[in-house]
Amino acid sequence: MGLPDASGDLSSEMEVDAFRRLFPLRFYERHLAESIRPDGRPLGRARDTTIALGAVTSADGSALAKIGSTTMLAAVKMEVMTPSMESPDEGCIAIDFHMPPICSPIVRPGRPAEAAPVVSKQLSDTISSSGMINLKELSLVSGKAAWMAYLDIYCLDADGALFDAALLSAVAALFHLQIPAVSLNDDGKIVVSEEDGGKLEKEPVNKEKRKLTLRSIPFSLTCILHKNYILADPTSEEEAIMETLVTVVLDSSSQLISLYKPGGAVLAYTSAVQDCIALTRQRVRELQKILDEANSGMEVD
Amino acid sequence: MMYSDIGRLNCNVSYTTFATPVRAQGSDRKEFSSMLHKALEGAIILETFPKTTVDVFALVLESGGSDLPVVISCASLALADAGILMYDLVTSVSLSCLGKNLVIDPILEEESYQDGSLMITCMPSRYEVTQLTITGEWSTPKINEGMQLCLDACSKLANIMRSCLKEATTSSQE
Repeated sequence: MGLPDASGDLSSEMEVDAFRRLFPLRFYERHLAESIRPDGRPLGRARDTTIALGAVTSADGSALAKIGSTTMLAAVKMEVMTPSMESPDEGCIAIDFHMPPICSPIVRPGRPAEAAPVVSKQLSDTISSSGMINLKELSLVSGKAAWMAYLDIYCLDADGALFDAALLSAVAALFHLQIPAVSLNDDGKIVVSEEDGGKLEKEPVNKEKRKLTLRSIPFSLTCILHKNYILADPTSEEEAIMETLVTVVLDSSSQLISLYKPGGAVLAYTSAVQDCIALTRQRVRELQKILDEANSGMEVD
Repeated sequence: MMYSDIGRLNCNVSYTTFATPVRAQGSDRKEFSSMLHKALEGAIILETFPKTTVDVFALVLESGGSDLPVVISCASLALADAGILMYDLVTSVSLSCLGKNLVIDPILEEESYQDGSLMITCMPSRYEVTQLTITGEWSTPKINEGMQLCLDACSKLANIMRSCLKEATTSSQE
């Protein structure tokens, strides 16, 4: 029978696990040809997703998001600052994404993950360009005081689609955020007012705890392009084997916010990009529903 | 790294930026890392895995007092879950001395007003202490009372941890 390519022939006599490790790409392509993935998902389906709001009580807003086993914990802490000269009646939001060594075997203390600053930048770009937050709402006293919102996202378990999970947890944490009540004291300083505190209340600046109005909420979906296949919501194993990723960010009314295609071996043709966007559109509806359910669960408690 | 006949243990404890009431730059806690290392190294049978390092990473998501004892107990649970051979589970409990009172498992506020603190890390079924720290003002009878309280709590904690591990294995077998 001559010399057919080694992996094709061996697959019949080798154990599945050994084949998966030795010829990961062939292993995947065998599955893709049958329109199924090794974890049993069809190509276009994302993993099970859950959101838990209010996971950290020491923060002003927080959320834990899980997509499959990828787990992200996001929390917002509010601080009072002096606004900049250029925008005296605007607050500020600082977004940081962390990958502690606990999240993946490739991250070690003193050797931070390369992906972390990339995701961090993508997140702040997406959140600022989506216009989700009106920074004017974070103002307290024009030119004197405004809120600085620190949004920190920790990856607790990295199993692919990091940006999607990070964005989801960030959005959910902002959704859950309650801006604390503060008032202006005699020295012109902002102090946190006690809830239902004494009648001696100084001039209240922010009378009661309030939520931010989120104008449009961005959601994202990452897809792998491999040959003619499009795999939604990849695991880290899939990301390691097939390297071309496309991330689409849409807002809740299905408007395109951003599209990332950071290089990769496969060129994205118009049809492939359109398919990715169609998949994302479906996913946005799913995610919106999950977020609403998490929120209504909070209100019942 | 040097060749070693016995296994190596590497510990790292860090906090998230939002763990503490005032936002801090999330940083490594070197002193906690070394305390965790010292608490665990006596319990792990390092001879069973030569030329190998075990990494124990702890990330404190939210600090509410008694952090180090929780980190230590949790780390030993994780080691057991990973199947690392140990002489016994390691449990740790701390208490604060507030005036005349001894407060076991203090919260952050209690810790900030404490006159003294006592922390015991032990292997309850062997009745061996791997780590004992006492700070502040203590009288000898108080120390005795405090140690007894902590040791009792440690053995109770060990029972809970043991049932936790059993549950995890039975549910994964199903």
